[in-house]
Amino acid sequence: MRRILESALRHVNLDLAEVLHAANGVEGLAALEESATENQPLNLILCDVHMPVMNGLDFLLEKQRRNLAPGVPLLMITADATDPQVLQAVGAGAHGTISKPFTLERIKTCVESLLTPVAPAPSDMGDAQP
Amino acid sequence: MMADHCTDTRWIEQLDGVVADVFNIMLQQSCEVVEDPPAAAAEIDIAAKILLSGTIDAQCLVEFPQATAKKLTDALLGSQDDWDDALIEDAIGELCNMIAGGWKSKLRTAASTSGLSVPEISRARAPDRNPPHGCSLRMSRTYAFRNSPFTVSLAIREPIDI
Repeated sequence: MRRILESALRHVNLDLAEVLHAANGVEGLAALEESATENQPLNLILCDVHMPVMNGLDFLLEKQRRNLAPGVPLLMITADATDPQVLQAVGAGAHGTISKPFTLERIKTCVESLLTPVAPAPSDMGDAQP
Repeated sequence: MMADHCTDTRWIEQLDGVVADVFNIMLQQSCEVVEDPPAAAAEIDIAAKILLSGTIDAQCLVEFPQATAKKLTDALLGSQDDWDDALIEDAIGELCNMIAGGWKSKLRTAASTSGLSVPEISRARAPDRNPPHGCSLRMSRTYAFRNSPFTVSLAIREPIDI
């Protein structure tokens, strides 16, 4: 899904400076750790609910426990709108959800709404997609 | 039309609708049901399987010839390229995920207590095509995407309501 999603975002002309990929929650946490170590600011995290090894909800909870990428919006993506983990993720702090299949317009709207800077830090750049 | 066991048109139309929605929404392209698919349509190079377990037990299996899998990957990624196997498998798994999730969301039976597995990908015909024990309701449909066939099969443990 990662490459498909990146392709969709580029197709709607979102200006992606850099995209970090992770195949599951564990790799996502490692990517966030590395970003923090390298002082590489992130703008957005897109996370599938269903992932092998560590799912999206557990990733979110562990990310918060470790205080990784605090304040970076997280959009949960799911093919199963009835999955209670989606609501749990929102309750746990996910900033939004999007169901698959999605239209290009829908993903663009969701991402742009989360990227709209309220008080942008001068050094903010880059995108992450665990 | 190809339905192994199930002849209830409600189930079959529901599956056709879910598959059509995935292609229309995600790809803005149509996907037609293949009536009486030729034997060539049975050629399988890549398969993805997702299990639904909990209140509802079911299995969703998608099977693709390489050529159709390549076309689907082209469409999902918005360009044509010599994609590596992992990316093609990711695309097939994602399609299976969207079909299984879409089908689940249309059930009247409380589906929220049933969970979807992550897609299991296999090359050639899925080694374990047998659905979970007790899945007595089975259907298999062949579709064409850009004139190339693929098959979606559902096996469901009854009773559930649609």
